[in-house]
Amino acid sequence: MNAEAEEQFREFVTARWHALLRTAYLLTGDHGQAEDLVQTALVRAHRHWTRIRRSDAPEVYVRRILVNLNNSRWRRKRVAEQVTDVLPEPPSADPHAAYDVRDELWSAVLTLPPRMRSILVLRYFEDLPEAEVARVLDCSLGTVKSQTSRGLDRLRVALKREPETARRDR
Amino acid sequence: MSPNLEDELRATFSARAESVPTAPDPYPATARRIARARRRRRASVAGALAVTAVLAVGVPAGLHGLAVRDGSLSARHGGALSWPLRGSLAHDRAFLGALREEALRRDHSGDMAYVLYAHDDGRHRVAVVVTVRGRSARGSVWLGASGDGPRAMKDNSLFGDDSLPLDPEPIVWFAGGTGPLLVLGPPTMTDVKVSPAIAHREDGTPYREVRTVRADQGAVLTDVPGARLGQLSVKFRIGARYSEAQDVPYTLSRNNSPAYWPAVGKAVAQAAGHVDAEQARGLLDGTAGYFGLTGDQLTYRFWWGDRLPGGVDALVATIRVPSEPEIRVIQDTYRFKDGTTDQERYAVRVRDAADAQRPIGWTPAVDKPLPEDQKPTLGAVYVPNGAGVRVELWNHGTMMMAARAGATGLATFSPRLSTEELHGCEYHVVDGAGKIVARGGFGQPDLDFTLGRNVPW
Repeated sequence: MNAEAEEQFREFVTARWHALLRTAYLLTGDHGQAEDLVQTALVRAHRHWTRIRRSDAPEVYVRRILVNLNNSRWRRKRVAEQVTDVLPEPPSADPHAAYDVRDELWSAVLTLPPRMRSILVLRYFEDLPEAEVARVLDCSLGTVKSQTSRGLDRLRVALKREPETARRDR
Repeated sequence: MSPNLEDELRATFSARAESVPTAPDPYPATARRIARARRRRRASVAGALAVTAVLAVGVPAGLHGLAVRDGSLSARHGGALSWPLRGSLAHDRAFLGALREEALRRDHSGDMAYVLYAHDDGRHRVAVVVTVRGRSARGSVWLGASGDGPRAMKDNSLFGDDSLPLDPEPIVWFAGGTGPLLVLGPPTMTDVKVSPAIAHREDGTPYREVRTVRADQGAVLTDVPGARLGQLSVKFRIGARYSEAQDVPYTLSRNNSPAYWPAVGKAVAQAAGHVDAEQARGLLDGTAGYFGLTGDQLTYRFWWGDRLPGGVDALVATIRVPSEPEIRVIQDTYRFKDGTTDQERYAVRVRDAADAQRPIGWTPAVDKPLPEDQKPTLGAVYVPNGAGVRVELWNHGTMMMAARAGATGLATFSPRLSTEELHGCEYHVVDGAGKIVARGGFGQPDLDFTLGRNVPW
């Protein structure tokens, strides 16, 4: 890679790191894994940067790598840390956070399969249109729609709310 | 569909994302990671000329490449030398004095000796000493049995005289065998996660067992049962977050048996096509290094080798590391003008004996040695015993192109697709009657990944 491309990569990392890290955290639910995921994605992106940088939106490519890396890690069942003696996470800055319904929802989100969670994160955090989500995940629009619907239903069940499909079937 | 849940989900994601801390400058850590990945890929074929396999040097993480800069020594005391002296012997003036004296006796070029750590846990006596002269410094870990005086302790080099821990990460040192692991960081380091080795579940899936050890004023000295050279890895917690995983450096000097090179030569001679013997040894030594072994401790077979468009040498081999699942490896070797080489290695686990005889597809990154404007993406398919066989490239139900495998069974495609797009394609191997006899994809996991090196933890 030439110096100009390297500099451009550096600028990209500096500018987009935090946004990518936020997405990665929502995908993994763990700060450490999120950072590892972003770095792994950036290492991959760096290897193909001369090609990626020519595109209009390098971030789309990097985000795609990020999401697919996360999904494939799970698909291959390679996320397998077995902690035998874990320190408790530091307490939340917000003492009332534990009582927030968002915690309940977040806990439910973490139980979703990674691909389903990816779709929800891309739809409701990144605010990507369904077609763009399909492009990032390299799947059909129908898959995005059905996975979104099923994901929301699973969250409703977890929150003990009536699933949308149940209401429709009635 | 309840719009409330969608709104709540947006709010939840948004609130959770807010908890992600900002990094002042994430690039240096990313650059280090890139460099590490590059180092792992780059295998020195020239290095194979040495009979002794020295797989890594005992330089602690964070001390690499820290050249001494202009400025007086005192100006650099903000680094490791400003850490307080720690350990159970930190107040043992007699021992510390004798240790400094002995350190300067052994390092004739040193003017001053600093002790960063001195500890006796009842079984081992361990110390970290930095000797300084002018702008240069040498760091070493001293190890002895409990109660040993400095003269009886063995010193192990941490870093040479051209580098100094200016802004150091914790010093990580492992004695090897059943010896202790030392992690010495700033006093703010609260604990260390230690993963001794990569283990495998019954289905072969690799995972890491992790133990968390509390630091005593930023220092950890612990035994690591089951530690495996090349796999021992640590993370340290400074402040609220853990570092990324650091492979623990080690030194291993073991001789391959005299029969090793001839054996590899014989193995490559039995392969279809042409396999370069040095490249083959590079693959074996590199793979063995992951496990703290030497190449002659592996069971291997080279099946095929050929030169790809763009001048890249490719080979396919099966390798078995003792007590590990057998793997099928593809290695692409790029030669640069300066004589250095760079390797891409992909690997999949071998499920049964027939696996090694099945076609395999991959995407060699042939852009590496080529000029900017000549960077095709290549799809390659090796069909064992498949000389002249028809291989088709299919993209989502549409046949894009077809090729005939060459004399060694290699078929290649240049479909003007990105690597990612090519990974979404399939190859079909078709017999004379037009029947598909094999099919598969082009995306293959990295060797590191398959060996479990990249198991996230």
